[in-house]
Amino acid sequence: MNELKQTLDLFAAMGIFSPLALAIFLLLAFVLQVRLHEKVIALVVQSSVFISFAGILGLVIMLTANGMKKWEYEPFPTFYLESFHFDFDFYFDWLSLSFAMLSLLLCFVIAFFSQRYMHREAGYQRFFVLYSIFVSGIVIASLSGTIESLFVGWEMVGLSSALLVAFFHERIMPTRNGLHLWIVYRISDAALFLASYLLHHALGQGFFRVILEQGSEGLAHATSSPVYVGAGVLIFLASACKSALFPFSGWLPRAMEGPTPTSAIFYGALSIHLGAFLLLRLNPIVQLSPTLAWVVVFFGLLTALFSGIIANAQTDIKSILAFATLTQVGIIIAEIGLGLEMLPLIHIIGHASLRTYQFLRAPSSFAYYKSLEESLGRTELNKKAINSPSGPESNVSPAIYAFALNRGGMDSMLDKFIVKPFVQSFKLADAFEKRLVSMLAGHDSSNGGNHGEGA
Amino acid sequence: MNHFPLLETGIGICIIGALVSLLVKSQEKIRFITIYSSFFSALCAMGSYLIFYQGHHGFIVPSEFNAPLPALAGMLYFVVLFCTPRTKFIGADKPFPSSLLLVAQGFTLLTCAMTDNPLLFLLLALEPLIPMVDLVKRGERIRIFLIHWVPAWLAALAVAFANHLPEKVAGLLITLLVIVRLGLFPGHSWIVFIARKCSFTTTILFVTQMTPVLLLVLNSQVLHDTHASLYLSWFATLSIFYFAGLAMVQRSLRDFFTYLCLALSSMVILGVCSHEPLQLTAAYCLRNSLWIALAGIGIIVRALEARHGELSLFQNHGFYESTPLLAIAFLACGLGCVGFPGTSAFISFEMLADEIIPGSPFFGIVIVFSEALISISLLMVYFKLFCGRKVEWSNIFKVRLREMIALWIIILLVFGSRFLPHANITSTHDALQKTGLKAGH
Repeated sequence: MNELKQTLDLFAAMGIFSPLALAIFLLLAFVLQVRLHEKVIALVVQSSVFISFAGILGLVIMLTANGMKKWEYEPFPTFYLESFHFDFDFYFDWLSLSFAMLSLLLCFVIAFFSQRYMHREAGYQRFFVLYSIFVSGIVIASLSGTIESLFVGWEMVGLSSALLVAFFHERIMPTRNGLHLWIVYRISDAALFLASYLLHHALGQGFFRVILEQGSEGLAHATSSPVYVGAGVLIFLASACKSALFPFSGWLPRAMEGPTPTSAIFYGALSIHLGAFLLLRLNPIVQLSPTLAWVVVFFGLLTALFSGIIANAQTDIKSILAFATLTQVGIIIAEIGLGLEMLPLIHIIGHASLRTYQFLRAPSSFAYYKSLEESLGRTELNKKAINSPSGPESNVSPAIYAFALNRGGMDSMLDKFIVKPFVQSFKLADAFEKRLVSMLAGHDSSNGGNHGEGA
Repeated sequence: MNHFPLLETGIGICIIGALVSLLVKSQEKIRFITIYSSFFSALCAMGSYLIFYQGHHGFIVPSEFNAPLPALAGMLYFVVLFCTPRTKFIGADKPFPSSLLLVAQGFTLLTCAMTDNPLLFLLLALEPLIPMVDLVKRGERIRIFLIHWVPAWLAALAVAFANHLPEKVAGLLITLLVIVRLGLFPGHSWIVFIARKCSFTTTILFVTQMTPVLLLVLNSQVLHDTHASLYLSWFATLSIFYFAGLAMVQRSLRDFFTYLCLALSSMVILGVCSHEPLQLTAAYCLRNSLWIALAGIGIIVRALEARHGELSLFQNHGFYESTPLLAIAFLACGLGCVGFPGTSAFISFEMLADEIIPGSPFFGIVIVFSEALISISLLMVYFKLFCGRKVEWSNIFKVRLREMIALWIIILLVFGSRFLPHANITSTHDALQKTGLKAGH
C-alpha cells in the first residue's frame, strides 16, 4: 500500500510540478536576460508538458488498475497558525483528471503549433514565459483540492492571460484590451477570495473533498447553510467573470488581440471553461439553493442567446469564433445550473477541442477558402457568401442587426454607468487634492510638475 | 566579540559618513563615501541580526520581534543609494542630499531596533526632520509641513514625556501622530507635497518605511482599550479606498507612486489596529514585504525619470523594448505589492484579510476590493510606461550594472525572501508572543 502511495504521489508530483518547474526556469532566464535559443525553449516546453501529461495519465492508469476513484496529494504540510491554516492540496477524481488531461493535451498541441507560428517573433521567449505560467496555473487550478490552491492557479491564469492579450505591446489596442481583461479578472479574483473565506468560515477548512462528500443534501443540513449560499453566489460571480458570461462578455472578443495560439488555447478552449469548471467542481454548493441554481441557468441561457445573436453580425473570423464559443459556454453553464455533471464535462471536452482546431485554422482560413474556390469554382461560393444571413441584406430586423453589430452595447453601458462615474468621482477628488495641497503649501497653483529631482 | 556593538557601529558609520561627506567638496568623492558608508552600515546591521540569535548584542537590545528590521532597513537603504544614478550626485541642478540620507539610514536603524516606548515616540517625532531639511535645502516652503507636524510633534512629546497622561488621551494622541506620520486621510497632504518637492530618493526611503507600525504593535493594547484602534481603523479603511482610487486617476508617475504607498500603508495600519496576535503578525509581515516591493517600484520610477525626465501617465511611453529589465522588475514589484501568489506578501495578505473579515466584514471587503483596485492601477501604469509605443533604442536607455544588481536583489527579495513564507510568519508570531508585545508591555 505504501509503495502504491509513493507511486501515485510521484505521478501527481510529475503532473503538477513539471509545468511549475518550466515556469520557474523560463522566468529565471527571462529576468536574468539570458536569451535562450528557440529550439531550446521549444524542447524544454514540450518535454515539460509531456512529462506533466504522462504523470497525470500514469495516475489515471494506476487509479483505474487499483479500483480507486480518487486520490489526494499533499505536497507540503498544512500551514497552521492558531486558527489560520493554508492548505495547498490536490484532489484527483474523474472531474479534475479529465480537465487536467484536456488542458495538458491542448497545451501540448499549442506548444507544437506556437513553435512554428511564433518563429522569429521578437517576443518568442516572452511568449513561452507567459505560456508556462498559464499552463502551471491551469494545472494547479484544475487539480486543486482546496480553495487556496485553486486561488493560486486562478490568479496565475489571470495574470498570464492579461499579459498574453497585450503580447503585441508596441501597439496601444492590445494593451487596452489586456487591461480590460485584467479588470474583469480582478473582480473575479476578489469574489473568489471572499468565497474562499466564507467556505473556510463554514467548513473550518477549504477542502473540496469535504464539500463533495457531503453533497448538497449534507450541506443543507449544516447549521451554516446560509453561508454556503453566500459562497455560492460569490463563486458564481467569479465564474461569470472568468467565463465571460453576460454582462461580463466584453472581454472575450477583446482578448483576440493576442497571438492566435493564445486565442485558441486560452480564450477559446481553456480559460473560458475554467469558470464552468469551478461551478462544476463546487456544484453541491450551487445546488444548495434552488434560486441560485436557476439564476445560473438563466444567466447561462441569456449568455448563449446574447452571444448567438451577436456572433451572426461579426465581420472577422476571430470575433465570430469568440461569440460562438460563448454561446456554447452559456449552454454548458445552464447544464451545470440544472445539476448535471457528466454532460457538462463531455460538452467542455468536445467544445474545447473543436474550438482549438477552429482558432488554429483561423489565420489560414482565407487561404483554405481560396483553394476551395479554385477547386469548386468561384461562383457557387460567392453566391453563398452574399446570401449569408450575417449581412444587412438578410431578413433580420435592422434593430437586431445594429444591436448585434454593437455587441449589445454592454461595454458602453458598463462604461457609462459604472466605470465613468467611478473614475470621474476620483478625478474630482484629485482636483480637490491638488488645490488643497497648493493652498496649504501657500503656492498660487499646484501641478504635478516642478518635482524636486528632475532628469 | 560576545557583545560587540555591531548595530551601533552601523549607526556610527552612517553618522561619520554623513559628517565626512559634508566636509568633502568633490561630488565624486561624496558619492563614493555615501555608497560605501551605506554598504558597511548595512553589513553591520545584517551582522547584528545574525549574532542576535546567538544571544549576542550591543548596547541597543532589540526584541526578537524587531531584530530582523534593522537588517532589512540597512539593506534597502544601501540598495536604493547604490543604484542612484551618477547624474543625481554629480552635475544635477539641485544638490543630492547625501549626508542627509546617511543620517536617515542611521536614524532608521536605531528606530527599527527600538522597543522602548518613550524613545520610539521621540524618534518618530524627529524622523520627519529629514525630508523637512531636504525641502529647506532646496529652497521650498515648509508651511504645509508645519501645519501637519506641529500638532503631531506636540502629540508625540506629550505621549513620550507626560507621566500621568490618561489612557484615553494617550490613545487619541497616538492616533493623531499615526494619521500624520503615515499620511492617513485627511493628514496626507504633506506627503504628497514632499513627494513632489523633495529629492525622489528621500521620498522613496521616507514614504515606504512605515515606521509607526512598530509603535502601533507596541501599543496595541492601549489603543484597543481606549477604542483608539477603532477610530484608526475607520480612518485607515477610508484611506485605503480613497488612495487606491486616487492612484488610478493620476497623470503623474510620481503622484501615482505616492498614492500607491499611501494606500498600501493604510492597509497595513488597518491590520495593526488590533490586539489579536494573528492579525498583528499578518500586518507586520505584510508591512515588511510591502517595504521591499515599494522600494523596488521607487527605484524603477527614479531610473525612468533619470532617463526621460518627469513622466506623464497621460500617454503610453513604450519603454519595454529599451529597458526590459525595468519592465520585468516593475511587474514583479507590483505583484509583490498586491500579494500575488509566490510573492512574500501572499500569505500575509491572505492571513490579514482572513483575520479582519470576521471582526468587521465591511473592512475586509474594502481591503479585498481596494487590493483589486491597486492591482488594476499597477497594471495600467505598467502598460502606460512600458507598452503602447515603439521607442527607438539608444545607449542612454541602457540599464546600468548597479541598477541591474539592485533590481535583481529586489526581485529576489520580493519572490525569494520567504520562499516558504510560513517560516517567517511563524517566527514573527512566536516572537510576538514571547516578547509579550501584544500585551503592550
